[in-house]
Parts: sequence; structure tokens; C-alpha cells
Amino acid sequence: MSETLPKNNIFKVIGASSLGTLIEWYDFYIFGSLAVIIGHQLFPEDAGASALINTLAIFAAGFIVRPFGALVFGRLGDLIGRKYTFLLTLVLMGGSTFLIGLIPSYKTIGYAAPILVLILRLVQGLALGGEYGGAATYVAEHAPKNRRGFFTSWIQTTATLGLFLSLGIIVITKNILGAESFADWGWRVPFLLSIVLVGVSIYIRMKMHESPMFSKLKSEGKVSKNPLKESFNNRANFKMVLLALFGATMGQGVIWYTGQFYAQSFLENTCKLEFNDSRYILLWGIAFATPFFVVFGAWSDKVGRKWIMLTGMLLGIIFYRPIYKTFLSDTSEENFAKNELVSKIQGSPVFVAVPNSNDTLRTVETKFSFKDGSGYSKVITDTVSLSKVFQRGTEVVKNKILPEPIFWKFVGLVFFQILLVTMVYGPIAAFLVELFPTKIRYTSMSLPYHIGNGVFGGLVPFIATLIASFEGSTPLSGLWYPIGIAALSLVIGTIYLSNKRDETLND
Amino acid sequence: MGFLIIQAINKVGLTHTEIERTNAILQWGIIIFIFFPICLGLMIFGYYAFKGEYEKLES
Repeated sequence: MSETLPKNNIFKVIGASSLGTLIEWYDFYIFGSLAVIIGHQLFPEDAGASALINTLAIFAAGFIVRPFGALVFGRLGDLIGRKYTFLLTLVLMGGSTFLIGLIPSYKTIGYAAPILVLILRLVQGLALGGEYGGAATYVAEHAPKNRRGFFTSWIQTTATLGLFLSLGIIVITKNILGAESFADWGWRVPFLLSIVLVGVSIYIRMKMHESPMFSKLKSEGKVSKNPLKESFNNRANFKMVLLALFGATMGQGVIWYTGQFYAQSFLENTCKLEFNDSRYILLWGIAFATPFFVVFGAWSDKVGRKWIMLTGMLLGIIFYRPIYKTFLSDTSEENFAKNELVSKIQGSPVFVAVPNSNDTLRTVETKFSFKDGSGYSKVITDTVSLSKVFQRGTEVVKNKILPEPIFWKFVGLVFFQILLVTMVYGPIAAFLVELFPTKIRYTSMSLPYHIGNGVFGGLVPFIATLIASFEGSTPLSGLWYPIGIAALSLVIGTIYLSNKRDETLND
Repeated sequence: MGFLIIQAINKVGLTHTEIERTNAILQWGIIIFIFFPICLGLMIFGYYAFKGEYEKLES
């Protein structure tokens, strides 16, 4: 059936699927990007309870719930069809995102606020767990047999573009409203905007027809009665689920998260780049690299999926440490000091009383500007005791602004990392679809995908921070986690993955 | 898994307040809860690979 579909129809299918998936990724990412502000607005001021619920909301939603969403909606998609299942995931995601934007502050409704955030965040994670498998399966089952990689690669652009859209809208909204208004109420705008985007996507998806392969299966009475049992209780299929996870999606997940999320977080929190600079670097890197999802997806139709994905993992293993070492060295104070200092402006001291003590914290911020347009702030916090003895506390350098040549060098380094993302991620939808029979495809491919990305990839920040806390570790030590996981996937994939493409997807 | 459990015990032991302790237990509990079946899966994969199950794929 896919071979007879007119060309303009396949692009309508891709457009309808991709738009909805992109919006779902956008909805998921804006929460993570605005987590600190949400914490201040919707959580109690004392660190205790808020940290607890915050942990559940941010942490659990990404890790536990996505694979469960994969199982729940995967099963539904194999029972009732692709179209209605991933219409449902879109409604759930859009609705929960919009409602997050409407939650009154903690000061207004008390503990109901963080509890509502938690519930809605978990719904987001569940919906996302069901979305990807449906979209990839839906497009693949429409695509001509020799161009499956090309057509499914459009779906593969949506996660990165969703990140791009979320960063872009947050930066634009914040710059228009100002930092204070944004922190006060403007943060709700990206959430509320989602309902417009979701509404359009629902309208488009309602007009889509069911996947031809699933329709054929249904007309022949061959729909699975128990997709979960057939996926995971059947040895032949279960071993393919394991191979897909350990030989492909596990490594792909860590490369994906390191090249995008960890890169931005490292630049902002370790290198201490200024808010806009760290995001603009990622935005430019994404803009330049995104077309390569389609390039590598198309190329995989000619040369196979395996070696493109594994080469992406290998290059990450080799180049991550040199790249991040360059980030550190180029943003060091010593490097800035090589430039001619133009101005050094010290602000007025700010005094804050220390609770339950006679001491006061004295904070002074000094702004350094250099001839090449770069600069940074140095914040020194001292403790002033009753006897007026100053005890030097912390000295923090932050808000670094890079000189233009270094800025574009960093864009290049992030672009390279995202290029690796396109190598591992571009072909993987077609790869996963080709591993499993139609009647359990949605279930079987969703689980390894969301474990690989949600668990292994999503844990990159947590485990990187954990490794950095070990005695003797350096700021680069956290990279051993993605390097180690990618290496394991590389070995398993090299030995056990087949480069043979399943031309027909017939069962 | 042993490494994760040792890290969990270590990190929970380093906490100072009750809430920090609860947070650490919660985070590490989630990690171990998630990774336990994944580690089982890896062992099963290794068993299948040892048995030559994946060598039969092309045929």
C-alpha cells in the first residue's frame, strides 16, 4: 500500500505527524527550561517540601513515566490503531501543558499548586512516552520501501526543533517582557501558547487516515489481541527489543542528551556563560545541524542504518573530552585576562542578615569589560561579624560574555556535537520500525526508545553531577558516563546489529 | 547494581537534614527501581548472545 501512495500525500502525512510531535517535544522542554522559575512561583519558599515535590515532578516524569507511557499507548496503538492513539497523546500533552500555565501561585492556593504541577508533569511524561512510537510507525508505514530512512528522518528533526522552539520562545518572551516580569508572570506565556499550536495540530491530525498497514491488518483480522504479551513474552521478539536497546537506543540516547542538553548546561553552569550566550550558541548549533537529520536518514536508505549510527557513537567517544576541555579553557579567567581591560565597575555592597545570627552577608558585584567586547561579573560574598572583622566567603565568576571569534568557535563545537546527534538519531526511526512486525510494532519499538532516551539519556545530567562529586574528579569527569554507555552500545551494536534493511515491512 | 546501591548508601549518609535525606532516598530509590530491570535485561541479553541467538538473525 505504501508503494502506491502519491508523493504529495506522503508529505502531508509527514507534516501532520511531525507538527504534532514537534509540539509535544516543545511542551515537554519548556517545563525543564523553566523549572527554576516554576519552583519559585508554584512551590513553597522553604526548601524542604518544595525540593521533595520538585524532585518527583522533574525527575520522575522524565524517567519512570515515559517508558510506562510507551507501554500504555504502544499497546493502545497496536490494538485500536496509530491515528487515534497519537491523537490522544497530543490532547493529553497539550491539555496538561496549557493547564500548567494556568496554575495559580503557591501564595494563592497553597500546596495545591505543587501537587497540580506534579500531576500535570507526570501526564506530560506519559503522553510523550506514547507519541514518538506512534509518529515514527505511522510515517514509516506510509513510506516507500526504499526511502523509509528519508521520510522518517523528518520525524527525527522534531525533538531538536522542539528544543529550538522552546529555547527561542523563552528567550524572545524574556527579552520582550524583561527578566522581572518574566519571572513574575511572563513564564506562563510559553505554556499558554502551546494550546494554539496543539489546536492546529489536532485539527490536522483529525483529517488523517489510519496507517495503511494497520488497516490491512485489521481487515484481515490479524490485529494482536495482547501486544504486550506478544512483544515481551515472545522470545524471538523480546531478544530484538533487548538488542534495539543495548545495541542502539542506549548509545543514541546519551549522544542525544550530551550534545544538546548537557552542552548547554555545561556552558551555563560550569563555564558560567551568560544566560543568552549559552542559549544562542545552542540555537545556532541546532539551526546549522538540523538539516543533517534528513541527510543521514536518506543516506541510510543507500548504505544501511547500522554504520552511520555507530560512527556517530564512536566520534562522540573520541571527541567529547577534547571539546569540553576547550569550553573550559576558553572561558577561564586567565583567558579573559589576556585581553585589554576597558572597565571595572564595582557595584554597591548588598547586606543580607544571616537568620538566627548576628552576622551579615556582604555581597559585592564587580563587572569587568574587555576591549574585544567580552566580559564577566565577579561576585564576592563576605561575612561581617559584630566585631566588624570581614571573613572572606565565596568568590563566584558568572555571566561571562564571549568575544565574537570564541562565540562562533563554540557554535562550531556545539554544531559538531549535534551533527553526531543527527548521525545516531536520523536513521534510528527506520531502524526500529524495521525490527518489529506490524501488529506489535508500536509497543515493541516504543519501549527501547524511551528507555534509551528517557532513562539513559535523561540521566546524563544527574550521573554527570554525581561523578563530578567523587573525590579527585574534575569538571570533565561527568563525561565518562555518556562515553562509557556509548562505548558499550558501540561494541554490542558492532557485533550484533545487522546492516540489512527490511525492504517491505511485511510480516 | 552493586555500584549504584553503594552510591545510594553513600549519598544518603552524606545528607544533613531530614528533607535532604528524604530527597536523596527518593532520587536513588527511583534510579535503582529503574535500573534493576534494565540490568536484568542486560543479563538476559548477554545470555542470549552467549547462546548464539543473535547469530541466527540473518537467516
